[in-house]
Amino acid sequence: MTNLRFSISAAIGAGLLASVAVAPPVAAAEKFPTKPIRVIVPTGPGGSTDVTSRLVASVIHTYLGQPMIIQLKGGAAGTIGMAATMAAKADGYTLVFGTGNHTSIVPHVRKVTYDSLNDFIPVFKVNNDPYLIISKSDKFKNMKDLIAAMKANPGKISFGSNGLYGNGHSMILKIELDAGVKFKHVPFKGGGPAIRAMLGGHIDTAGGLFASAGTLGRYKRGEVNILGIAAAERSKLVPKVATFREQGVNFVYQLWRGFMAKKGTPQDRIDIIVAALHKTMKDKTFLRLMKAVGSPPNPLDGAEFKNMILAEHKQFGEIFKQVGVKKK
Amino acid sequence: MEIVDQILQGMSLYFTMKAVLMVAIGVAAGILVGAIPGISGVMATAILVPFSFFMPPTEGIPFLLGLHKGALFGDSIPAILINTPGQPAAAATALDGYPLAQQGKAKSAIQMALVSSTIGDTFSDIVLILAALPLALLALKFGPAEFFALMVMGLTIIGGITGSSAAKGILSALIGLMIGLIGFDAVTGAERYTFGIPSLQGGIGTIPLMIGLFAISEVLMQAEKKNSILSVRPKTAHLKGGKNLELKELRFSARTILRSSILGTIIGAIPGTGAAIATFIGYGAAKRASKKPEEFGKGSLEGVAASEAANSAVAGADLIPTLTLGIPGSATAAILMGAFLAQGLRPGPDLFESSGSTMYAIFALLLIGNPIMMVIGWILTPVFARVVTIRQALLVPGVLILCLMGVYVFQGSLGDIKLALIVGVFGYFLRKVDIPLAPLVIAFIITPIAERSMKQALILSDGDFSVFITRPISAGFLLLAVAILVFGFRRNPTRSQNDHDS
Repeated sequence: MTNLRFSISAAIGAGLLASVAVAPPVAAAEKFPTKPIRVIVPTGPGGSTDVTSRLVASVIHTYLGQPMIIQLKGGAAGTIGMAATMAAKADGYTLVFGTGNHTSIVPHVRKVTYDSLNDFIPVFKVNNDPYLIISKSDKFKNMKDLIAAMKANPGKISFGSNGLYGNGHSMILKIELDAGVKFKHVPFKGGGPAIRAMLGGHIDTAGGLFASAGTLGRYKRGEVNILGIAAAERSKLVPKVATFREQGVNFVYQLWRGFMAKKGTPQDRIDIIVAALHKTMKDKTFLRLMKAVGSPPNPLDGAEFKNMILAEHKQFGEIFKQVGVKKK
Repeated sequence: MEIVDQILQGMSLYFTMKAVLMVAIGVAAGILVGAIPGISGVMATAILVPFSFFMPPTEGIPFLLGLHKGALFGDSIPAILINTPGQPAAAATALDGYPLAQQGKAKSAIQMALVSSTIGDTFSDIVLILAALPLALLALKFGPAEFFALMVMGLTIIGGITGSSAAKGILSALIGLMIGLIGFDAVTGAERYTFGIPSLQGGIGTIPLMIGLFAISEVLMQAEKKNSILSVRPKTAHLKGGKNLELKELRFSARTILRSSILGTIIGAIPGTGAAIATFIGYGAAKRASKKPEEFGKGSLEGVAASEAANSAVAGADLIPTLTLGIPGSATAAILMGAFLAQGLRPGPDLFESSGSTMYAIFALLLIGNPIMMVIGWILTPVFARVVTIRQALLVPGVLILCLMGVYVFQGSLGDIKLALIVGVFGYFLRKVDIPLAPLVIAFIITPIAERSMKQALILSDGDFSVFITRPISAGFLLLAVAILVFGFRRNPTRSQNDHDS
């Protein structure tokens, strides 16, 4: 279908999943959980967030004693799914599995009915991937090269993003601010089509993750260049690629995927979920699946996870304030 | 010699009885779930994919491939039997399939859908095997300007499906166009026709639109009939779905099936265009070339063949951008790609290098899946065809419940149910005044892509419109669009008059 607006049945899909994943008996002393935990995923089907949540759910029942039921609630840049989590009881039986886009970007550019920092408790980060800026290998070598070309040809270099005020667009806004340049910004519907247009030579640069449309493989084969990596330190996967900071752009953005709970959820229940998640992260099957997907777990919980979100939220708030973006 | 080695290695690993059996299970599960009214092929795939998480790759991948085929064919069954296409591509099948079912020819209509689906799918699988990489490279040539021109050509299809009155057909298309504009403008971020309702910001969902427009309006049409009809068995019940498809009927549609297979494969290989556009282009081309164009829309087996062959040809072709570029061409392909990843198979340019033997095994399983689908479909068809013998008083409420359930589960939104009901009442009034629904659907699908591509092309050209005629592929499509319009008008100057007589 043309239309990736098509979403799916999480309810049925996960219901079936749950019925296959028969839960083992619960330890006698535990009172939580006594029924399946609903996990709202505020995205469409088939993306990395959806897949990651399903892989967690396929394993965690062994350690939790109850299955996790994945429910996709996409639409309106994730605000519908986040709002649905706020509408549920804060009893630990409803969690949301979101990304930094939902907590740290969207609330700055859209009117939302919740406070992404104070209405949610960050529970557990499963994994994260640094954001990248890429071009065909014969175009640019690195970000310095790109910025020099942009200064020589103002308004000529194009960037394809995954959508207006999405991850990619936010990234180039920061490059524009720090380097004093201007991209010709072309929003696409999703990151895949943008990278395809870049490979076809229709646009000069695009954004994405290592796993987006086989970017890591293309880089290793010399088809594309990764001009910069939005991580605090260089990645072991691509040690030669300099970070944004090394190249004069003060931007760190790792697209994380993780669980959050509604404010007021009892801490002892969160602790039980976190303990089960830590065991899941060490599960052999889970590690094999995550390795196959190309994004091994990188767990973080409690205050550290919360501080990461706070820093990220602040960074994007400053970018949008400087650019003068108004909420819609 | 390395390739031979890889093929043999792939065969020994994947091409086992167990793998073939898993393809068959996938096909059967896909057909059965896809055939539920309100559950589209995309949803059927999404519902069944999690099962593959618990299978080793040698079973999970064959299961997914079979599922992909079965779910797509399953869609045509409710479209034919009860006029409830679950997705836009099946709406073209319903145009002729439903009249056929009402004439007591449900069985031959489903069989025609099955045969042409199988042929279309086989054709595109062969193209995928022989030419995946060159086709993928060709598809890369499609930038925003080319997409826009292709969509403009797609809009000319509406000329072929307007029904009795050109004016009503155009009106329907304009309504579809307006519905397609609802939501955030993807390029400028402007909010349009949302009236501040958050759930409209992302636009009208295809599933609530389709279910409302076709299924719910159909339920209203049935409910309006005198209760004697509701409680009595349908007139054609004694036919039990009617006769089998005859060979001469198939031979009559052979050219149409081939044409639709080619069109579906080419259009399907371009990611982001989708089955609906390919299907309607195939249908429109068949009507233009047919010896009996007057039967189209009134129960033409050729019409069913045209849409189903194109629709299924997209299925194989969809896998071209998915497997070669790692960029799924459709929602179904996106779900499959997620499942492939979980099986340790990483679609994209690395695939041929890192898992060459697996690739050849996939190709072999795709091909063998087609005769399997043919056999399973043929066995199941008489069972499905008996749906026409069910009392309307039982069938109609059952369909309504299934459809509303289908709408809800697709993203767990009560708002979507409200939307489907509102669209259903709207669709009912459109049908009462004889406004055809197909142009609305096709315009609704095309508008957002056309608009977005046009704006992207204009950003890149700094607002210069000449980009659409200076780029050769784009110019070619626009020329073709003009040709179709001119040729269409010259050929049918008295069409509306003829239709009034009939």
